[in-house]
Amino acid sequence: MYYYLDISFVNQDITAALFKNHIITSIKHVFGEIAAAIPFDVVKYDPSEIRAIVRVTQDHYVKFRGSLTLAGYYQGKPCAYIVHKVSPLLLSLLGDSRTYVH
Amino acid sequence: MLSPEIWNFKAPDSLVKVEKGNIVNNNCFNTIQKLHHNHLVSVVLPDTLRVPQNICETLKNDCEYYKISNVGLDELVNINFINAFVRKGIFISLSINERIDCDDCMCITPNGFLLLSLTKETYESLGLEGTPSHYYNTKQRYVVSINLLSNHFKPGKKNYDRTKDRLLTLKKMTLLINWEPPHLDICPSSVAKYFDDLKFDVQVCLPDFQMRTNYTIKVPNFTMDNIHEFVEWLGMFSLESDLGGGGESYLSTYETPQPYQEYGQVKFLQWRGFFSSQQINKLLEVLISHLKDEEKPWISLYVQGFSDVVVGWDLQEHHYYTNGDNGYVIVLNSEDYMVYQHMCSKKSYK
Repeated sequence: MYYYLDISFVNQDITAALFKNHIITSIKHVFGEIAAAIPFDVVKYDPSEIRAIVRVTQDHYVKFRGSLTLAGYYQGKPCAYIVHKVSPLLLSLLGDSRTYVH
Repeated sequence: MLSPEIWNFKAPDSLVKVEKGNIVNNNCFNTIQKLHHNHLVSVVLPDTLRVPQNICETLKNDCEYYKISNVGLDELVNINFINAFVRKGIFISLSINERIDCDDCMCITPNGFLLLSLTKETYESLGLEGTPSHYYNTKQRYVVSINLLSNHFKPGKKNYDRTKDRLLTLKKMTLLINWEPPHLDICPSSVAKYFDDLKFDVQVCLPDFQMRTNYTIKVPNFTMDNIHEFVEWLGMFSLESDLGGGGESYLSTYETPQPYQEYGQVKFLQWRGFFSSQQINKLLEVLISHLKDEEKPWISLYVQGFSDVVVGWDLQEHHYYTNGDNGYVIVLNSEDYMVYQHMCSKKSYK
């Protein structure tokens, strides 16, 4: 079973491959070499918003999210990840009733 | 080496219930009746060149709902309002722009209960009787339930007067309301006129509708054996994610589940707004009749509830943990149906 995260990166425009690479570096930085081997997939990437949907197994979700929180720098400049929505059901990332304007 | 016990972080639980059956029994309608405040509806139609007009319009025509700003909750226990709308037809309402994990929220259920989910501070200053929330062991949140349809709940009775008086002290909220009249000759906008006459800011809201077509798509066959993969594929397709073109990719290892079939056109329809379970029922009826008219491999319907509503499935208390999702997926083919029910975690905070 998987968890799906809708996240965006706050720093500068980067490609999908660099985006994934930066997450791996962040996991390695916080949890070490072995945790950096956590398999995860960037299933959708929107370069205009630097926003992605990422799939990670349930067992690794907590460590993965912890690494995103603690990711501090990209190429020496401060950076951050915004987690918009998280769900074990991918379809629920279609929309968020909290941010919808009626 | 670090202790594996300490490093075993578990993800928050979520509950999934899968049910299947024969379409003739109409049991798939039972699930719809259990979730009353619905926000998002999406439909996937594989192998479809033209979407019938009646499918698109089921949730567009007569599905207007109203947004009323800055309403004092004492207006909702006004006896004229209860007799005209809550007692007749189907009335649902909920507060928006309030978060259930940190603010005060309210909703009205179709069976005539006004429910408030309040923070400890608001509850203590309100002075109405309630019960501690199931999700907070430390009693940080309370739920107050008022039966608007009770025979004793009328002016002159002590309970009514006190409730109205105390609700006056609560802060004003922005509400969404949806009312289905008891007869066809009564206009659903009567409820908007009622609030407009009271000089409230009433706004009519139309559901937001989107439709898109994707071409040459590998569509997995629908069987009960691969239900999780199938629902995941529905998500991948609906979000226009990378469906996996085969071969190793650095970004994603996802691939369309096998066996699959390639179709020229796959339609995706989505409505967002505020829908009652009766409106979703009508859509499902239209989809079932469409399946009878035309040969389709399957049709799927996904419905998502509101994150910040006081009650979720079966009018049980709702909360927001990693997410506040309640939703279900119904997949139909000409004979069978499958309901994939997704419930928010029941875990309580320590």
